[in-house]
This record gives sequence, C-alpha cells and structure tokens, in this order.
Amino acid sequence: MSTRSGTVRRTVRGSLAAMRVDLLIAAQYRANMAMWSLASILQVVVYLAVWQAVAAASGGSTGGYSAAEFAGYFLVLLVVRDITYTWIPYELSGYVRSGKMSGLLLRPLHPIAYIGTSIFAFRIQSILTVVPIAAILFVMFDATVDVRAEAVVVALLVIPLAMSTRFLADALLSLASMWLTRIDGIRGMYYLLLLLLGGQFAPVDVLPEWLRTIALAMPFYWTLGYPTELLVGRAPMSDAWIGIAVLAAWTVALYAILQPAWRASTRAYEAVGS
Amino acid sequence: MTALASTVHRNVRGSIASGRVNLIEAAQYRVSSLIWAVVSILQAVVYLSVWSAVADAGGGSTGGFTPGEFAGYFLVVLCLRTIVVTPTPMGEFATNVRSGLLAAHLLRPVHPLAALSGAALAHRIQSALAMPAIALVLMVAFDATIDVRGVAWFALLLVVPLAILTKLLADSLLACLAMWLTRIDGVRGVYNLVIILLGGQFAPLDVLPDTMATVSRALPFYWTLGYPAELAIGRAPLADIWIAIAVLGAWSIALYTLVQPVWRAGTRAYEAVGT
Repeated sequence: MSTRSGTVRRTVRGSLAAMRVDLLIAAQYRANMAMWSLASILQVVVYLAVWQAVAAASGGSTGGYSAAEFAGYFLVLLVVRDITYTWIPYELSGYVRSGKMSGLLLRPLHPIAYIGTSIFAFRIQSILTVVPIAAILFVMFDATVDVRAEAVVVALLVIPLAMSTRFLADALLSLASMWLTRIDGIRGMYYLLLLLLGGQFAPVDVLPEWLRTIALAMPFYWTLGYPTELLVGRAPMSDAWIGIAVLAAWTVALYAILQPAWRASTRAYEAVGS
Repeated sequence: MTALASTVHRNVRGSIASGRVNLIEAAQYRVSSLIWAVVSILQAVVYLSVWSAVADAGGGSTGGFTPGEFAGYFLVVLCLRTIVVTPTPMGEFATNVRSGLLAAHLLRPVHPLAALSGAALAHRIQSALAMPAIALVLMVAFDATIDVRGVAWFALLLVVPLAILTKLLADSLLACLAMWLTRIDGVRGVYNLVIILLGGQFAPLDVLPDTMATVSRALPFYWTLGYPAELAIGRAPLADIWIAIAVLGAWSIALYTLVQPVWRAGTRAYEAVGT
C-alpha cells in the first residue's frame, strides 16, 4: 500500500513539474497555439454554415435540426471537443520513432502521464481562447440551445467520463507504435472514425440509419456527440443513465486493457531512432 | 543557360532518386500504406452515404446533386485526392528543420524541396495504381452516375498535372515557413482544413453556401480537386475548361515565383536548431 501511495505521490509531483514546463513551452509557441485554435473554430464554422444551408434548402430542417439548432450543436461541440481532445497518438509514436521513448522510460514519471500533463497544460490555455470565441459565434449565428439544469448536472458527470474514455482510447492506440513504429495509417483511421461517427462532421441524427447504428456501438459518439447533445437539450434525460453506463464501461474496459498492453509494449519496444 | 540546365538536370535526377528511396521505404511499411488506402475509401463511402441520405431526405437532390451523382463525385474525388492532394512534403520538411537534419540536406546537390516533392510524387504513382480499380467497384456498388465526355477526360490530362504542380508549389511555399517558425503544425492544420472544407473533399462546391463557394473559387484548392472531379463526372461545363487551365497555370507561375525569394530568405533565416 505504501509502495502504491509512493507511486501516486511521485506521479502527481512529476506531473505538476512537467505541466509547469509544458505551460512555458506553450507560451513559447503562441502563434502555433493560435493557429490550432483557429483550425478548430474554422472547421466548426464551415460545418455549421454548410448544414445550415442544407437545412434551409430542405424546407427548414435536416435530421430534425433547424439552422439555429445546427449552430447551437456545432458551437457546443467546439467546446466539448476542446475539453476532450488529446494528441497522445502523435506524441507517443513520435517518441518511439525518434528513440526519445528510451529516455522517458527511465524517468520516475510514467510516459503516458507525462504526455497527459502536457495535454492538460495546453488545454488550460486553449479553453480560455475557445470558450469566449464560441460565445461570440453563438450570438453571430443566432444559435439555439435548450439548456436544462438537470442535463447540465448530468453533463458534469458525463464530460469527465468522456475525457477519461478518450484519453485511455488514445493511449491504447498509441501503444501500437511500440510494435509497428509507424502508426500513421491506424491513426488516420481512428481520427476519421472520430470525425465521421463521433458527431463532428454531422450530428448522428443526420447520418443514414446503418451508420448511426455503428456510431452508437463505438466509443467515439459517446465521448463527443453525446455530451454535446446533452448540453444542447437533444438527448432525452430518461436515457442519461445509458450514456453514463456506456462511458463508465468503456473507461473500465480500456483501463483494464491498457495495463497489460503497456507491459507487453515496453517488452516489444526496440529503441529505434537516434 | 548551361548552368541552369545543369541545375534542372541535377534536381530532376535527385528527385527521381528520392522517389525511389520513398518507394522502398513505403514497401517496408506495407500495412501502414494499406490502412491509409482503407481510410481514404472509408472517408469517400461515408461522405457519399451521408450526402445521398441528405439528398433523399431533401426530395431527391441537394445542391443539384442526386444520390447517384454524389456517389460519382466522391468516388472520382477518391482517385484524384490520392494523386493530387496527398501526401505532402511539408510535414517532413518541418521535421527536418526541427531536428536539424535540414542542415545536412542543404549540403546535398539536390534541392531539399525537389527531393521531398520527388518522394511525394513517387507515393502518388504507387497509390494511383490501386485506387481507380477500387473506385470502379464502388461505383457499381453505389450505382454512381457519371456523364463521361471525351473532351472533358482529354482536358483532365492537362488539368491534373497542373493541379499536382500547383499543390506541390503551395506545399513548398508553406513548408518554407518552418525555417522561421520551426513548428508549423498549427499552420499546416489550418491549411489542410481549408483544403478539405473548400477544396471539394467534404462536399461539392454547389452544396456550400454562396460566400464559401466564392472563397473556394478564389483559392487554388477547388481548382486542384473539386473542379477536376466535376469535369470528370460531367458537371463542369466544357466551355469553362480554359478558365480552369488559365487559373491553375496562373497559380503555378505565381507560386513558383514566390517560392524562389522565400526559399532564399528562409535559408538565411534558418538557424539549424535540433540535434
């Protein structure tokens, strides 16, 4: 027990130290950060403008969404995406290919926790940019959301679960690089599924029936589309327990798989790169 | 003139050698290449399914596209995207700047951007061999509608190489930014997003709101992908082919003219960071 509490203390102290460094690094690359925020905002604005145009051309609504509801959905999605986003698959596979992973394995802090802290540090900064911009766009696009107090309370539980599911799924995916070295293809597939089935490209109600069924069976929709629908008042409150149960089950399952996968991957890792 | 011819000759030979190396590298990562192909196919299938469903729900068409035309459009985009849009030499160039590897590449007889472009082209040739066959099968499966016009397909023989050239030059120009900024993933993120959203990958131009369609026509990306796709499926009027050729020719010349001084200024600004 005391070994475990020692590990936890070491990880927390190490994470805080790494986060301080990452906040300083983020401050060095301000223009880069601004461009990433711009990319997120641009993507959402284009999708919502297109779906608004499609709704207008289809007699006022598409998939049950009016133009104002599309705006509300995509602008809340912008914030939810920013909160849940991670880039572990890029960072960890880069460390494996460059050989930097060898150095990270010798540190007292777990490499995944190390990357997690940098993501958290960047997220603190990006959220301060994205939330006010989403609020301005909300007014500009005349967006509509049906905010219900009970849904917001449920979202406060759902969003941390969505963050942990996403973090664990990304971490698990990135471990493939310990065997394959280059995971661009798998990563591309993963992000494509997140884009198309997670509710980023369109709300799942707009998708054809067979695609919607696949979306509900995978974790992507639950980490992104579902919290968004909850906050805009589209997800029925009677089904909230399903969302919580699905995300909790994914979190537990992914955490359980991550442990042996990490051990197996560190055995397979061959320290390529310079 | 002899010096110029010798430089061109050296860079062409260097690019071909770089392309050969890239093909050998790609052969090492066969699974990764295969998964990339699946990603491209999946993307096309999902887009065409969603837009076909929207067209059905909208009374049979959206933006003037029927479900069959959407299928034709996205499957032609699938082929053209592999040849014109991906991959790009930008990411590797920026990595070379950050790692300091560019310092060594600057000493080589071949221009670093020419070598990377050669590698990108080799990858395209490899992908281009497989994709049309897959697209053809999907066209039958999704009951795609294509109005094949001989003149249009003949014009593609000129439009597509110009599109490849424009895209490579635009990538090269943006890659040069790495010599000042070191980290350009944010700029690349915006650039790739603009290509996806306004280039005709996410939706045909006719589906976009008017403002966005106007912006798309003012940028080179629609002309490198959306326009050739519209030409191939019979949506773009034959009378406008010369406009596309003129636009792509003008973009190629403008970008080439810009790349020269930007490269020279970039190499002066480059500080060989990294290991």
